[in-house]
Amino acid sequence: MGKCNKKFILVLTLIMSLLLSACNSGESTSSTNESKNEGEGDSKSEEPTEIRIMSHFFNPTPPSDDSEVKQEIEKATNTKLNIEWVSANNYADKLNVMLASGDLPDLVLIPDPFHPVFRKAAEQGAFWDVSPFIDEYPNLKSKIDQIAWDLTTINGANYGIPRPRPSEGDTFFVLRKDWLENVGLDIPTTSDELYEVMKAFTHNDPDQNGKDDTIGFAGQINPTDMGSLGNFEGIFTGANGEWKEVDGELVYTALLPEMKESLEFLTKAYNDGLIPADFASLQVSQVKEMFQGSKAGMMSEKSGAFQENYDALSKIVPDFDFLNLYPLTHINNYNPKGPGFSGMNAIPKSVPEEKVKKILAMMDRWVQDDVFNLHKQGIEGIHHKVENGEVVIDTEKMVQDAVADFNQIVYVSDPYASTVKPTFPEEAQKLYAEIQDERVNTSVANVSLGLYSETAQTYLPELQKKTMDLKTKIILGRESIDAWDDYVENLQKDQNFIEMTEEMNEAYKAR
Amino acid sequence: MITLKGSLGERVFNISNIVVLGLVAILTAFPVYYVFVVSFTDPTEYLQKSLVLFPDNWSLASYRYLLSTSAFIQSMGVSAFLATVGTSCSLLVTSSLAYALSRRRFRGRRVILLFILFTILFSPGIIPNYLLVKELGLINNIWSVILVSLSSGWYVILMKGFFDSIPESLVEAATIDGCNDISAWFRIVLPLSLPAIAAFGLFFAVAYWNQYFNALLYLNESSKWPIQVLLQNMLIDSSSSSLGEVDPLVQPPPSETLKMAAVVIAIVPILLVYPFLQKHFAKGVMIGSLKE
Repeated sequence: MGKCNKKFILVLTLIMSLLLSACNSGESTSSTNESKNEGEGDSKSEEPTEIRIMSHFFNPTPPSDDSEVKQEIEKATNTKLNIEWVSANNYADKLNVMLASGDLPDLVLIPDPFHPVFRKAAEQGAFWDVSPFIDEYPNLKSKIDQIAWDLTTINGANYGIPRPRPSEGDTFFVLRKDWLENVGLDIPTTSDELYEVMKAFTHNDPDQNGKDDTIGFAGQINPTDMGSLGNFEGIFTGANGEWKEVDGELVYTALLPEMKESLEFLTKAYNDGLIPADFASLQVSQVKEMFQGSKAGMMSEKSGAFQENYDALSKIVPDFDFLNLYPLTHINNYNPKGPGFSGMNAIPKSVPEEKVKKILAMMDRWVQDDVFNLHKQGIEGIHHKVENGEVVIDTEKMVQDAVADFNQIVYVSDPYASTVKPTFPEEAQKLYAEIQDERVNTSVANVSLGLYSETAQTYLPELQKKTMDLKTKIILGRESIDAWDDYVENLQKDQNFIEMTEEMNEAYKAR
Repeated sequence: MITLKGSLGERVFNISNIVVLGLVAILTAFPVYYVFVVSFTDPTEYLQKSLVLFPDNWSLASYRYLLSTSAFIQSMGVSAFLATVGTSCSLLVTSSLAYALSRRRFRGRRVILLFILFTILFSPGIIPNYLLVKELGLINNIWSVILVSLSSGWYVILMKGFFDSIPESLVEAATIDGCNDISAWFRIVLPLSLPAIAAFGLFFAVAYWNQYFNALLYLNESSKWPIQVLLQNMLIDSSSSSLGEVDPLVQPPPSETLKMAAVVIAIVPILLVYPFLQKHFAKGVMIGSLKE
């Protein structure tokens, strides 16, 4: 992370100088072509606005330039879209280079609105504050929750249009219901019961093949966070993220006594073989393979992603029922709540005000159902059929044309989007939606989201890494649990840590 | 086997050499073998087994899927274009420059060499390069990938070293026979330098085939991406953590067998170039060309 920071500072200085010059020369780059009207089928008299968009994509290949879905969207919004799709893996690199060169598209995805580089650039006036315009676009305002607008403000200004996502149905434990029945246990609601289930999944031959070849929980960790084992901390500390509000003050979760309990839980689970012995070096894809290969009985996942698991398991386990994938409601009255948005789309100052309004008008039109449905379910006859009033989606064609990637530009948040997918069987959709409704009662949001601390920018990444190192060693048994007490004690004396905590609390109270 | 001759000590030494180096060879070959085998494994079987050494069901499903996607074929085409056209351009520029610099009657060559050396020591970095490409109007143009890295100072100096070893008198002899500078270079020097040309050609071809970061920065349209950019996309799981800020709209990554098949398809063409160039590496053709 240290290397990254240096790079960011370098890039930052360049951005400052270049963006400023870009602002001056930017006025001339208006690309509203005043050429002859070609008389496209629409009755609109206005020439389509040409809009350059940069976004990332997740399908194996991005939508092609002549994609039918794109053409339909262009027709509906009266625009000519010039979309630059960048792989999600390298988006940050590309964005930094574009920022530094001043060659920004008209609408650009900012995956992390709290990133210092973007924050500085926005504070220096490199992006439009859209809040004064937004009242003129009723659809845009109503389809994106107020909370998403609120959370993405920087000094009271909205330097972008947030991309709404469902806040409920965040990643939490999922277990194999058929295994649970085989070992004769009930659905766990406390950490002790959870432990029993994991133990039975490991040692009591839950798949009844007579072999000791299963594991309780498939999970891994990342260099700076607990990865898919993170929920084991949440169920003890009751906090989502790294900060918890205790008596009106934000406290770093490592300082909480419950954090030690969670470490003890995981250490015990590791010793009993309930989590993979190589959890510290596994990758997310390998964890998924364990679960999909019917080798593990639990993992952390959004229920919206179950199709992939079902497809794999149904080929291996005879008569596998979709409902055997059972998402837990809560453990110790905890389950995580998502932020309700995922990054935002910003408009650089190089775009003239006239065009800003046109871009907003495009998005305002785009969020309406008839346009949004174009990439939610594709085009009728190509990506889906309507049979007896029901929409049947051709998943393969959807993936092939990468239709879903348009969601990255404009998305209307369906509150159940993380939980159910239209491809699930009816009763699974019903059950998962019910579970989500129950989760609402216990879901915990990340309180520190969007809070800014100068010290944390440089200090936190290092702290996260150090903390993670120690946690890993304790779970693996290379350090005793007492080492944690010493660590916490020293941490509280650290000047940087004290400063960071103060700044975070200041920002929290100012909100 | 020659290795089993000689004294007992020598024999023990040779045998242990074979065993140890053989083991190292297996270790290095294993990942390649694994990629190859997994690419032919039935996807369901891959999930069930913890380690596939030899699949029960051989399957061409992954290859069939990959070769039916137009994007993959298109990217192979782009990479092939880069590897052939790019390599020819690079060789032409590098070898002519290096040859000129190796001739003693070329005045001021030291200054030019210094400039070239300078580019090895100091490189401008990503952003100035991007600005250069942008100002040249080459953004989203396949030539941006070729022109920006047409040659490197290091290769020019290496090649100059090679040309230095070609005696001046050979060129003089050609001049007496009626060659001018260009034809002497083309008809005498280049044919003599085939080993070097082959070696550098291979360097360039591999570099162009593996072209990744520049293409990522300069080419916006996915139809212009070379194979490595596409591959990276398929291979790396963008949802690096199942917790945290993962977008709920993310599509599941392609299956492991599909990834491995993509790897195989991407490495095979460049692998096939090696045997054809290898014969040039063996020996030069300078032997007996001149008596002094």
